[in-house]
Amino acid sequence: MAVSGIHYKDSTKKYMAIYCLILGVINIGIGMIQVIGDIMAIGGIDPRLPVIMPPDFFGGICLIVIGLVFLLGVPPLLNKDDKGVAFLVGGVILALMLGIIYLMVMGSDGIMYLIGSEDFETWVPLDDFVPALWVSFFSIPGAFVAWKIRNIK
Amino acid sequence: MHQEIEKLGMQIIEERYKKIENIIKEVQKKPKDRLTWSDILDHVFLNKWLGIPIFLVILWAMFQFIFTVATPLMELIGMGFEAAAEAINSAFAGAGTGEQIFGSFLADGIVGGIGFLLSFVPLIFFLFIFLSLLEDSGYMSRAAFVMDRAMVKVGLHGKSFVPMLMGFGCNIPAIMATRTIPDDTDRKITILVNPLMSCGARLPIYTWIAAAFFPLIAGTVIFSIYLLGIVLAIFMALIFRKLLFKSKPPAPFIMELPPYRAPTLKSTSIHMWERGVQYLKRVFTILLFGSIIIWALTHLPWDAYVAGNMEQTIAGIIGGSLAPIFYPLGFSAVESVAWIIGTALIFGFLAKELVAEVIGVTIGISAATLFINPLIAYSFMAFTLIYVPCMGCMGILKSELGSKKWLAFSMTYGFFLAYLVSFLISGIAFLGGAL
Repeated sequence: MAVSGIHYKDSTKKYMAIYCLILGVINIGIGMIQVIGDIMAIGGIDPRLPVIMPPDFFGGICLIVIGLVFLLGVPPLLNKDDKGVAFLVGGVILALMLGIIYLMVMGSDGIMYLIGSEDFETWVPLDDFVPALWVSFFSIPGAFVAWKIRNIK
Repeated sequence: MHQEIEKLGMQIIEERYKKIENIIKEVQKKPKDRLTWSDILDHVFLNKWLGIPIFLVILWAMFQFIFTVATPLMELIGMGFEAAAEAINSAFAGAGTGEQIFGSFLADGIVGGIGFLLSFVPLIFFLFIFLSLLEDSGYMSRAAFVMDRAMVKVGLHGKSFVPMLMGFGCNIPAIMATRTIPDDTDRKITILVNPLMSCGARLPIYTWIAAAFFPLIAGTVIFSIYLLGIVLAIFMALIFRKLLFKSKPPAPFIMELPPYRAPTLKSTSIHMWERGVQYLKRVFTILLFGSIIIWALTHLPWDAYVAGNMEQTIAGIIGGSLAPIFYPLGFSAVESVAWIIGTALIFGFLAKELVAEVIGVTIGISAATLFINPLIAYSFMAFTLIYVPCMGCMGILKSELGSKKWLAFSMTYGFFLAYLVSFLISGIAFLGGAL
């Protein structure tokens, strides 16, 4: 069946705006912690971050960019503009892309552990449970929106 | 005159597109202000502020993916060939000198050399899988589009970005792809900076060094080297336009963006195979030939090799004479292995992959013992990125630039730029008290 363009109810857009705001703040907040943590580590200061939030400059920058994508969707969605949905879908795609890549990283590190690689003797799955992976879980509900509208021509 | 013709051409194209848009408005039934799937994605991926950061995020994710996911496969292939080489060596251990030389030739020259190069096959194939996904999904042309504004500002034609992206695979077809650029100056500038885009053949060098010196952030380090190549290419384009060609910046170009499509397993596999198989062909032709030559130069005279006097072998003598050139860069700081760098870089002329092979397999030295600290290792990675293109690329540079003078210029500027960049990186190591 041919579908021509997307259109959501105003109330749905309000919920989407809240969702984008939450995801934007989470991504930017955690991303900044990782970036600052890495800068501190380079400067010789122990940032004392939990295992699931290791200092990572580039990983943090990626989360900040994804967070900005989500945040850019908030104003148009609050103004009942359908264009805001674009930022929700774009942010979800990027977040899930990173999440899937880190899931594969965890899998391949697991294989390295199983084949007895020296660098992975003390490896545990938690080592790879980085923010880009677990933050992506929060984007799964948004993925349903993307899935629903993927065939719109 | 040429610029005016181009402007006129642009106006014609713009008018044509306006006409097309008007016709579409008249005939297409589409509720007002409603978005399609392509509109949705383009709002984000072509966003004025976020377009380039998103492109960089995707590029970074690509290197995280290819390095980490390929590592177990690389390790398994490497282990298999190492075991085979060891078995051959031990089979010839008690034999006479002639048989021992033959055994070493088989184990280190053929099996070890080919095995080392084949261990990078998963890495190369994963790189091409990702590039194919980006192309087949329609994102690659969006990447060229978002980079267009930045490219024009720094003196490159918007059409230059596609050949430059192609350079991530191989610089030879990338340089040939510059034929789509109509202006001769724009084309020459794009050709001259294209070797700065890191081709797949350089990936084994980066991977090998990054795994030894930056095991936890190898993907990020490799990404930074690719980024360094892009930054240098843009910077050199700006310099060439201002100083060498003294021409005005090119006009922006209009690009037809294909619709987004979900890549299929079949098309991605075909694209990956078509490109990846080129690497396999290289392994069994030019790289096998290179492995044999490397083995001969590093194992002869045999007496010197058996006695462990590697500096007395042919490669040792050649490399030793080149070592002083690299003292200021810190590459020769580990004196016992200082000769290796020059030898390895010479083989880089033949094929870039051989740089890592010379050091890692034929001479059998781990990357970790070659450089005195990670920053010097990084400086060496930057040097191999920039210094000179491989022989095949040189041939295409000569034919596309149309003269030996331009080729000589390309090689000379490449070497001096490599030296300068590495000197600066090593200088940071010196200043930081690392040396």
